[in-house]
Amino acid sequence: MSPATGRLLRTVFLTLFCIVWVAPLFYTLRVALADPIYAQSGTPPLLAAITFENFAGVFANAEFMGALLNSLIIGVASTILVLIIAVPAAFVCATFEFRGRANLEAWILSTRMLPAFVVVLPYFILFRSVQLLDTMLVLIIMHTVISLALAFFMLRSFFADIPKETLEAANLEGAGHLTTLLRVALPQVRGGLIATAILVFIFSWNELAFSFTLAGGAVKTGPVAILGFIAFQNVQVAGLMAAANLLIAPIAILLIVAQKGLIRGLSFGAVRA
Amino acid sequence: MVGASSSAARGPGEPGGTASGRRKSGAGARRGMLAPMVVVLAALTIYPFLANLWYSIRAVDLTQPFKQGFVGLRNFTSVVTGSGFLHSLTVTIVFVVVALALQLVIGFLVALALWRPLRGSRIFTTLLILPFGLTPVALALAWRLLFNPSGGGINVLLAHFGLPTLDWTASDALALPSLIIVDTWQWTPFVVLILLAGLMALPKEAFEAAAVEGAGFWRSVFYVALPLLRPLILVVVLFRGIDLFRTFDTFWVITAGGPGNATETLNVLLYRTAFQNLNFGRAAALALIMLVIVLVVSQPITKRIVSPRERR
Repeated sequence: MSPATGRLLRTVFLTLFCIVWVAPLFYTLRVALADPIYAQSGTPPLLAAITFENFAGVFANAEFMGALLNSLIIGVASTILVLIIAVPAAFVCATFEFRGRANLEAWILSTRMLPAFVVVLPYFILFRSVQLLDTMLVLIIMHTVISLALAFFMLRSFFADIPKETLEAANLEGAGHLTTLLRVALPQVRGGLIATAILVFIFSWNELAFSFTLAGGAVKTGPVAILGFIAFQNVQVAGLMAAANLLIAPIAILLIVAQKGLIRGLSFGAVRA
Repeated sequence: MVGASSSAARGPGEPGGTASGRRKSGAGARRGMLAPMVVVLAALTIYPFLANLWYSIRAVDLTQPFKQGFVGLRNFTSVVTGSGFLHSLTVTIVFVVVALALQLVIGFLVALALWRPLRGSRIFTTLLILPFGLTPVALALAWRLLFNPSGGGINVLLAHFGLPTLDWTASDALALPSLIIVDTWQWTPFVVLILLAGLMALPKEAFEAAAVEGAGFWRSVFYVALPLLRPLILVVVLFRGIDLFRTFDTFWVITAGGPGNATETLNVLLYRTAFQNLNFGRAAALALIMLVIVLVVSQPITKRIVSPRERR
């Protein structure tokens, strides 16, 4: 097989794979952009006329738009908290060797392995007793906690890439650890910091289990609100898909912006792609 | 709490302190920088563990508020002997094993196709990051519609080509395979990108040596690339395995454990026990059983992720 044939076969294979993989996303967009009449039966013809009626309907839906705003506020607040907590810890673990570090990191990693509902029940009872259920605060707290391990390992791998000499030089000049972190280390990992923040925000935006057990009445996030669409007997399929598209559109943009740090983050720094 | 500990850490480390004072305060500053993380994560893990332990040995049934008190291990025995548990365990294991195998095989083939330079490969890799990053609930809703037996996208496509249509998530037999398809769609690209990064990092010399000995492409893949990639494949297996075990959104949105209990994983069973039957005691017992499963299975992963740095 000549190299040219090989390249052609690979391109055909990859194109087919990507078509199959993008088709479901295309499908949601097709349904969302079709006349609701078609969507009653489920699938509009491929070349049906395009209408923005469904999106206009979702934009006019105050409850759903309010839920997206909730998601935005919770996402931003928990991202800031995660960075404040995880950055110093990741810096220390990446740049210093101390007794118990490996055990500490193993423990941090293990917190990421827990299924949500294993921890949700005690929190439900706890937050109910202090009357925090169904508030923004409870979701900000939980979304902070669930992303800590991820942010820690992602940041640690970025800090570990900083040349040791740079940090030692700062230390010789008399800078304390925190000064070194803020003045020397952080500017060097700016890209990694942004990628981490984006990933943490995405995790908060996408989260369902906590959002609908610990809140979901007065305070709905985007994913919880969209489930409300199907709770009724007559599901408006076209409107539902328009809402789904609106929910994923900001995330799609963030993913493309952050794609460099994505794999590193999701593999907890094990893969430096 | 957060602010307090970091400002406490700043004080002594600031320039101007004496040299010996600085050295001594170094460890203190480090501890202060680690403390918020440790405290918050301890709250995440230790409190729920102890609380689950406490609830699991008591009758906490919100539908029977007056029947409370110590019941010993009765919650555990009723979970394990309950009709749902073994079924849910089986469903969970089938889901994890089959989906993982599919994702590894397809993921490795696609990674191989992307391995050597190819025009447009950047477009492919950018497209591949979408499925596993986008909101699972929204994607699950899309698949729910695609699987709809009457008028859903998949059956419309099958009918268009004159193929028989299927009942997908509405049938006992196909509901779990349907969910395996969804997860494979969503997460294979992640496996592709990890394995691709691994392939790119492999030493060229190994393949040149194999080529000199006359090994063809597939031979060198099997005898050179795969053995070298083994540590990374193990990372993928363990990470994906744990995440498959934790999967909830997809199940809840697409089938809610149904039809009947055909797709009721341990996660769905736990949710139903706690928030539909309101039997918190029994749910706590089930949560602890799942916790033990996760900890036992995740031990190798944590070792593998944390230790590479020590070898450097």
